[in-house]
Formats: sequence, C-alpha cells, structure tokens
Amino acid sequence: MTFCNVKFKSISEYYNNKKTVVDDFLAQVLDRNTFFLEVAISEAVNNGLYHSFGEVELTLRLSKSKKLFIRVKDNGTGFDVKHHLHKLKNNTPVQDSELLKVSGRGIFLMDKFCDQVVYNKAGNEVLLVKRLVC
Amino acid sequence: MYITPSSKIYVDEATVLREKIIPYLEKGYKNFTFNFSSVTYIDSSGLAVLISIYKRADKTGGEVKIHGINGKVKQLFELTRLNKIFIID
Repeated sequence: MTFCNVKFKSISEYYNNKKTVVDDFLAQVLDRNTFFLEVAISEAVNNGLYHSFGEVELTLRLSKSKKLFIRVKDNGTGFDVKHHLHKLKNNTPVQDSELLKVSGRGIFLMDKFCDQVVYNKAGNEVLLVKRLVC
Repeated sequence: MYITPSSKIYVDEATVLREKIIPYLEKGYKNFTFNFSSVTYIDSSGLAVLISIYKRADKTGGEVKIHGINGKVKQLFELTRLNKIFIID
C-alpha cells in the first residue's frame, strides 16, 4: 500500500475513527517507531481542524524514491503563512522568552520532525515531506 | 495533587485533563504531580495544557512535577525545552 486518504469533519471523527487507518499505513511503510511522524501529522491535522469550516482531508503517499508525502487540506480561509513563519523564525518556541507560551509549538514540531514543510499561499493546505531512507 | 493522565494525550484528552484540573486550581491547589510513567503520546495540545497549569500554579507559588517520563515523550520534552520548566523526576 502506498497511498492513504481520509476525510473527516471533527477531532472525534479523526481520532476515534480515521486515525487507525493512518496508523496502520504508517506501521506498514515505516520500519521504525512512528512517534515523531505521528506528532507531526497530528499537529497538521489539529491546525487544519482548528481553521477549517468543517472538513479536512489527509492524504499520505509513499513515492518510489521512499519519500512520504503527507498533505493536510482544510476548507477554511487559511492563515497568514508568511507572517506566522517569519514570527516563528525570530521567536522560536524553545527560546527562554517563549517557553511559557501556550501556543506556537505545532508548526515548530512539524518542522523538526519532517524534512520539508510547505504551505500553499492561502495557508489552508500543508505538505509534509519525510525521507524514509537513511 | 497527584494525577495519572491517559496513556495517549491527544487533543480531546488534553481538554479533559484541563477541565479536571481547573476546579482544583480555583480551589487553591497549587502543587501538582503528573505520573507520566504510562504516557506514550503527547503533542502540542497536551503540552499547552501542562504549561497553562504551570503558569497558574506558579502564580501562587506552586509547582508542577512530572514523574516517570520516559522514551519518546521524554525526548519531546527535551526537544521543546519544557524539561527546563517542569520538575522532572
């Protein structure tokens, strides 16, 4: 199996119904612990649900070159990607001054656990890329 | 107060955890120990709840301890430097 696609409209629908499909897919394509990738995907999913108008689509695809492409798309209006990423670049959540901030770790963790994180211009679609070969 | 969270703290579990703790904070409880020995998953939603509990406890001179943290969850705390905020044993 090299492709997995799920759609959902709520946190409970994803975590109670659809996540097992994603977990099974990851278990199949990864020969190691899936924890950090699971966190990255959850961060993208949670952000998508937070900003959506009720529907999020998650697609995972394993390429022949052993890259895992994870796309999370929501039907919301997105967010100011440029501003947010610029802010994150200057004030990362791991700086002493930012440690007590409640929000802002999601994008940081996606970035840490994936090789690439790409947003569309509107900010309602994110592509996570993870190379699976050493 | 001693709390044993769910083994997997996703968004909903983080919300439930916060809702359980808030009444105790409002009653004046200020010292919290979380038993993380069985926790195998947490993400930024759970971390956010722990930080918000810490901030409220800290205002009244309290502290938040996390006991038994291990494995990938421990690595996550180290990566986010939250091991500098909480008392981890």
